[in-house]
Amino acid sequence: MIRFDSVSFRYRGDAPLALDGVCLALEAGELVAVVGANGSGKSTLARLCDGLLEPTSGSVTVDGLDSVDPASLWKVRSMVGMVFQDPDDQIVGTVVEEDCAFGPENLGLPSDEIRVRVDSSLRAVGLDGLERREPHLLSEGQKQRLAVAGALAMRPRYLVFDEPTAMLDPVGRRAVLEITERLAHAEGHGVLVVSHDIGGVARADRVIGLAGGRVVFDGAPEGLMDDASMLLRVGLSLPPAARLAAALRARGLDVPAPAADAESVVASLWR
Amino acid sequence: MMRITGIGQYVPADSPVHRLDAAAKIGVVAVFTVALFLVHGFAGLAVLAATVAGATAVSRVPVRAVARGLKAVALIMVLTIVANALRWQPADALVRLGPLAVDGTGLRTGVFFAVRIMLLVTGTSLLTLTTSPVQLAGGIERVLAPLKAVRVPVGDLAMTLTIALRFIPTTAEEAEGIMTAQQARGASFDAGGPIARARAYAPVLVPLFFQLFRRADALATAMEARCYRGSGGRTRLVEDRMRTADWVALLATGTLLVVVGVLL
Repeated sequence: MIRFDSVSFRYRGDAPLALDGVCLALEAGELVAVVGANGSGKSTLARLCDGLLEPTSGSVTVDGLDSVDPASLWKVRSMVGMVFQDPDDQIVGTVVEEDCAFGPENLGLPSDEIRVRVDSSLRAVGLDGLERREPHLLSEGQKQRLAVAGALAMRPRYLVFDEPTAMLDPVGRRAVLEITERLAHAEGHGVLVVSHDIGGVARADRVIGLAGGRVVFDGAPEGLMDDASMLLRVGLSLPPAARLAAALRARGLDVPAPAADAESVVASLWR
Repeated sequence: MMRITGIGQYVPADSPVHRLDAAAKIGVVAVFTVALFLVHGFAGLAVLAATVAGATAVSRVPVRAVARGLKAVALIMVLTIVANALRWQPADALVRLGPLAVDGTGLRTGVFFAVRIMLLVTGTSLLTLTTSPVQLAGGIERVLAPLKAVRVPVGDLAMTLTIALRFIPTTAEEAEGIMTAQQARGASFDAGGPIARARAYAPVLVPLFFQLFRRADALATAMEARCYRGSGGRTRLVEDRMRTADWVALLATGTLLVVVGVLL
């Protein structure tokens, strides 16, 4: 379990708090979405998960290990895989397999073990067959899946995605979101997705809403989707289909929430 | 994509020269270069030229690619010959041009030096023509490994080199994007003289550098998140090592050095 215990954080001594008394927990096998407007502290929260930032007060623990204790820092980083927004900022290797191997190489694993992990990680994200491809010849979606594979090759228990779909087209976005869902529900990783993407919210088991560095919502996605003022507060807007569904529901029609896509609204109207 | 083609750029192929270990090839080129400077007669030079020609043939690299390197040094070669051949009123002049004359001994010396430069360029470019940049970075790391004893961060240098190689296409794309953006606002990159043209690139370079620093910072964070903490304790997906063929190549070049330097 990744546990935040009244974590506060500020970037400089005189800066306002980026996070203010955040308490939360992420269990293995759970898919949690973190939402919030720009500047609400969501990327800060992501970076605190594996000790890339040190809490100003409070503590972050991963399976009981302190995230900033020098004795456990690297263990924590190998347990928590990170995927960032811009895939070009995180690909180190000059060919696909070499990049995927970067994490395990840093862990000092023997070559044959690295090979096994690289092959299985690339297969898990559907990049098998592209091992010798140069990263700049991949599509943005493929690059982001390579970043996921690079994190998976460390065999982490938890994965933290910081706006993984912000630079992707709808097809790439869906592929990455499907991977996050499978990693949590089929493979038992604890997955935290920081996202502006309402599609990612609908898939989550739980949503944490941040505003001004505080947790203002922690609950099921349905609860958030039905609360218009809360949606506004965490900087989300419903897709047109969901807005229509909400309007129909307000006029007494039986349309289930959350109905994030047009197909499910149509299906419930034609019942 | 911006075209980045240069002298000695890697030509992928499956040849015995390509398959040689990068560290061995670096050693071979080093020994070859020493031989080239020890040689003192045309006979030795001929042997070395035959070696380069043979290696080029075996490597299946197009002769055109090897010759491209010579264009850059053609002027130096011509100047070397001219400077050595032309004398002020020499005794054994071949051709007289007023008080200046082409001198037989001088011409021989000039041609000798020019051929030496030619072999140096073609021989060393064969290394980069047949070795991928990543293999080359790995090879440099292993050749320099003894320097670790005197605390030279060889592994970190090799990592830096690899990352630089990885970011060449990304940076080229970025530069092209910025150029397009500036052109859209009326900038022109091909008008005026060389100074005006160079000045036109300033509005490209400044944002490009800004981007590079931002990217370097983000990349460092991502590398830390993937447990990079310096090169110590790192292992490799593919561990390159010297095989029999590599030792044979190195030994053969060593023999060549002795033959050319001492006997010829």
